[in-house]
Amino acid sequence: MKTTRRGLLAVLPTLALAQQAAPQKPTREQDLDNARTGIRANSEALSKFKLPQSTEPSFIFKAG
Amino acid sequence: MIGNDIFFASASDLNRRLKAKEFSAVELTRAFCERLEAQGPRYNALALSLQPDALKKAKEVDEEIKRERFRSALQGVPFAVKDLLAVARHPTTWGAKPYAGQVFDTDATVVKKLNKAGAILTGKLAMVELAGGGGYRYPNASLTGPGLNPWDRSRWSGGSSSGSGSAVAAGLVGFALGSETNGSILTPSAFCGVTGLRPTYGLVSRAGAMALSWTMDKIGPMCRSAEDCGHVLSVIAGGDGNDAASAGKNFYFAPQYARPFGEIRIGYAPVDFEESAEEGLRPAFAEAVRLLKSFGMPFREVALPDFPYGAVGATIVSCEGASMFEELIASGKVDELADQRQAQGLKAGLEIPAKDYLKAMRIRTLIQQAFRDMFADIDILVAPARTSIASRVTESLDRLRRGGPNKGLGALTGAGNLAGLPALCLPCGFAEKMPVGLQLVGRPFSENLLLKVGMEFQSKSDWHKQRPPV
Repeated sequence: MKTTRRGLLAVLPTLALAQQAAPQKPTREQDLDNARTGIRANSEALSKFKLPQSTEPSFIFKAG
Repeated sequence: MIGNDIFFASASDLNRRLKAKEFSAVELTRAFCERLEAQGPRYNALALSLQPDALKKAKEVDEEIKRERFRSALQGVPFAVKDLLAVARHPTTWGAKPYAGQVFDTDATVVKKLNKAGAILTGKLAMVELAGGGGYRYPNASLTGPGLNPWDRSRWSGGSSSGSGSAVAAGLVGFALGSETNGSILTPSAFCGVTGLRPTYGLVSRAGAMALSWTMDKIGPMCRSAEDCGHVLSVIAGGDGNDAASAGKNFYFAPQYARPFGEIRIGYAPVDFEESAEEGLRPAFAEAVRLLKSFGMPFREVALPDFPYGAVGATIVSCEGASMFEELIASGKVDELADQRQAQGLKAGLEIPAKDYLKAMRIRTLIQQAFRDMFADIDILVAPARTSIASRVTESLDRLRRGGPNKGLGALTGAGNLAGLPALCLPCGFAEKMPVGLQLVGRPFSENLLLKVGMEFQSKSDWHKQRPPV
């Protein structure tokens, strides 16, 4: 099939949409940054929670 | 002559038919092994076939049955285990490329127990790499590729016990073992339409199993019925000096001695079934709740107390998982994992400050106390196991993880795992021809109560008996 300028103009919008729709895969560094962001968000959520000072962690060390 | 119906028979039915000499253990084992080897790869469910060992064991079982030396309700039943459980002198890959050649000298405790009970190990089942502890983006986060759902192979089987879910649903094994840190038995059970039991933390030994989170990991059965889950749990449960977290308790499968239905108090949140669940699932959940209500159990509306369950769970799993895999991370081999988000998540886990881990563990104490208070007035919490059907394998899992506001019992999977509570996933219908699952959660060591309700539910419905188009 002969490629014409009219034909190219017809498919260009579809190509542009396809490029927008396909998300860029994050790089390793972006994934690491995202993981660190998640950790900071969790840290903030934890820090906002008020605990009675007497609350001990839910693990127990036993000697022997 | 073995007919195809045996592949979808319950474990207890297979055992009964073996004792009745309808077929031999060797015939049954060969049939299941051949099916697992032929069909397992269709679902990326099979990590390793153990057919030669299985047939050898089957011969021994036939001799025992001939001499009427009966061991258990699982004697002669072919089963397979998630590939985080060690089987001596065979690869145990943890679903991850860096561990592809790993071999242990001894069987995991649960494997030893099932072997002693006469069950026949036919293979190792695929899983999400390292049980997904670093957080994974796509279902193909596995050495064996994405777990494919037998109901629709364009959809995910769920994880991280992906192979266990697929194998039971597709009739490739009599039953399977999976594990759960934070949803890894419930999710594939719900997505694949199988009955899965997450036992109370510490009831089943973790010795010989890969640890992801020492304070959260549990090993449990994935079967075709609640009754089978009870039989499997009665074999695998029990104290073990090789597991520091062992509760030192046994489990005797005796649902008939649990309290009568009129005295079992159910807590539920209608908002979970009517709003949080995606629209297509709501009719199935409505029918399931109607069925439960018909047993005469009093229902009352409840909601989870307000705690930052997500932050607590993520901090604990990330910290413990990163510590467990510190050597993998330091060596750089973590970058060999199939899912990059998982690899980077594990690395970042090493940076969590101790104060956050300790805070999370202190909040956890309050969560446990809150559940103890709740269970003073309630015996079983009922909620959706998942609020959507299985996603497409090409789809990012971010949509599945995106939670709405914490309404009702919406955070029950995370909260229940933090408190070490048992949970039973029951198939309860279909949406878009895909399975839908319900979860029942009880106080610690209340598995008989959960199984009593589960068995009654399955005696009055047949969702658990439906077969995918294999």
